Amino acid sequence: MAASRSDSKYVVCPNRHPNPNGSKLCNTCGLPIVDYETELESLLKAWAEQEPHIKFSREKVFIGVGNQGCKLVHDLHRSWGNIIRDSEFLMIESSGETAQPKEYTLPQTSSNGSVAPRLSLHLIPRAVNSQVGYFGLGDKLARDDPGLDDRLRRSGVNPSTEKQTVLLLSALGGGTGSGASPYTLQRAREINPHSRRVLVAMMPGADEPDSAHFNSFCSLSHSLQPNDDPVTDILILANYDRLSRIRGVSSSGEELARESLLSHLVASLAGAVEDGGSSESDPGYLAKMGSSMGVHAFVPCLAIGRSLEIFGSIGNILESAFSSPLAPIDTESIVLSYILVQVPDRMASLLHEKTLRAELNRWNKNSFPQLKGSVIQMSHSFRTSDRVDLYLLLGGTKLAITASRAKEGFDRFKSVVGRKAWEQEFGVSPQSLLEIEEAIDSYDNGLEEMMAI
Amino acid sequence: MNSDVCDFTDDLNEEKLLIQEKNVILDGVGKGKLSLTNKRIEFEHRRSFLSTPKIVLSCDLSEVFSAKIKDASNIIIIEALDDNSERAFYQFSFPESDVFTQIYRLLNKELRVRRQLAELQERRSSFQAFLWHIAYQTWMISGIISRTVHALTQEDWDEVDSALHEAKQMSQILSNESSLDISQDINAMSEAISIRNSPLVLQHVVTTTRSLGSLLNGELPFGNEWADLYSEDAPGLNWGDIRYIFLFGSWYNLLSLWQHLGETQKIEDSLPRMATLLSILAHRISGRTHLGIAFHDDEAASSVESVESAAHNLDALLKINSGVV
Repeated sequence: MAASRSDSKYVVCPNRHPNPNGSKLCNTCGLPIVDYETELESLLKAWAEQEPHIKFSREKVFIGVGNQGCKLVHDLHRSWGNIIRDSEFLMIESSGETAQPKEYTLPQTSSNGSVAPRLSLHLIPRAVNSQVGYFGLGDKLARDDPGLDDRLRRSGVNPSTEKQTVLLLSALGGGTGSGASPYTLQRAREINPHSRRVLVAMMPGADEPDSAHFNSFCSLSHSLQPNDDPVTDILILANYDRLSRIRGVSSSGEELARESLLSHLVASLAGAVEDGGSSESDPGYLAKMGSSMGVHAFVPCLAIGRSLEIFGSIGNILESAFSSPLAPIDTESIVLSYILVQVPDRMASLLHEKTLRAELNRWNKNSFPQLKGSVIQMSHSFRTSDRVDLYLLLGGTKLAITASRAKEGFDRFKSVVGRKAWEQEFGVSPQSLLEIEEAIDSYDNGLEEMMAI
Repeated sequence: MNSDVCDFTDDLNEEKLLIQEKNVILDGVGKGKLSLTNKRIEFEHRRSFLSTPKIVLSCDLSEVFSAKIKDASNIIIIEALDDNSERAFYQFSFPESDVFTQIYRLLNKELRVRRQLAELQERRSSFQAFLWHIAYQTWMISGIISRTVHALTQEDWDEVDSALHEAKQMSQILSNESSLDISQDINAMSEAISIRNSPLVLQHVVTTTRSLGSLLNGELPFGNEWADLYSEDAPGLNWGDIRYIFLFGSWYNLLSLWQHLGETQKIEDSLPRMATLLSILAHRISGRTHLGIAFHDDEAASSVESVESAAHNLDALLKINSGVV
């Protein structure tokens, strides 16, 4: 059947006329002689060569869960979408409108006409009129969602992307944010075991009811399970009250507050530089070091848009950031610090990197007597002012301290929800509550043991 | 395609007189002359000695259903269509048994040949319809594969899912109707699609294309059912021609993808290849189908527009001949 017979002295044309091997046209009918097998191979090669057009590597996947998490990711996409390349933005919220998962992609054109990274909304289905105010209910909703894995995969969570960071933003006071966030990270790890997972958790304000703190405590616990290899590599905790008290200045001179500050933190960790420039930021180093030491929870300290002229030195800017940690810390217990400094490129001659690193190391040593490891990363912006951005992540403080208010709320509220009769209502059982406490205790005990070494 | 077969059988059957006998009585008419050719049976009757002979019965053998002997006599009863295309019985009485036997044998032999030819023609028609159907399915699958890759370039997984659904249906039809089984490849592709792994999906696009391309380059895959009809030189569409349809369809789909991606150099490089395939198809298919759908000649096929036009024509030809429209 083959149009050519390589093992003979003849090839046949499409009309089956024999011709000497190597003939291009048939001597009898004049038709072209096609070597089908060679032609098929060329075709297959041409298809295979399309790979660069279909391979989309999402090195950063930003996921917002729950109402507040979605707002944060939406804001992040709007402000940083055009700067953070190779990324994807996904909002996950529960919906009582439909019993089926709903997925759609929002319009996405940037001001300069280029196509911005995609921003998608995934609605976790829940029964109409049902409530999702508690961690257990949000967790169950996410687990029962048949479309969640597919949405994560569609958003680029994929084992073929080996260097991938999933950054999940969520406020842990509500049911969806607290319940669905740990499970979403768990699924992300299952789908791409190579991925690094960062949870930026906004803890409820002190005045919020115990139920909100109960939710956040449960969520923290699930984020740090299993103890030997938690679903979250880096857990960044920010108390809403503390976040509300600090301010920053953007490159355009605008005041930054609350959610915008978190956006700056997340974007900078992802390597974005607001005015253009270069960044060596990679939370992967911190994640690796943290995992080896059993440190996963970090408290951020921010100093955004600080004038070097006014503050005088990087050390002073560090002190400024350190004066307002976004969650309680115990300085004596800090064993791991991460410092990301973004300085204007034009000031590189003033701020020699070597000198800068020496100053940062000195400050680290003087500030944290138990410090065992530190990651210092630099980025350079093209901004014209003398403003420096500094992000500090401090790990090692027990959650009993960092999440003390959450623990108080948990302890009070668990007596209400821990009854067998309320299992359905709150989505947790006495046994699961016990496990939640044990996971936090286990994390804290691990820190204590590490300190003792 | 029927006309081809008709031409074929007609050539073999120029009208020849096989036997003629006077003194045959046609019941209800009277005595006359019976003539049997390889085409028809005729009865000529003269009303009186002086009157002109008239053909009172002329029946095409294709309209004769049967010829039977009546009760061990010298009478033959022929069942055939009358002038009104209704079934009628004609009773012929023969004076001599020798002639009677000879005519009876000759008539039945001709009817048998006729029946065999009719059956052959019907089987050839079915085989042709079958080949066109496979050609169309193959054409469609190459299109679906292309749609899948096109959707992958846009990360449009809904479209990928939709294309997969169609590919599964098509492969099922191909497997059931023609034993061309690519279902394993399609299932593997489905697995890759379910985990949204684009590079893996593309790998399966390549392996599926390889499988189908290799199957089309193999022996006729339909067992012995069509073995007697399978001939490289048979008129109409040949099994071997489907390969060229598949190749052209696949390259054409790549061309569409490259247009979308702005790959002008690849488009230019592929045009001579498509012109070659088109010239083969024009000769092997278009020229033999008598459907008035022609491809462009080699020179004209050197532009994207002419390739698109030829692809459009081929698509129409495949749809018509496979019975889709």
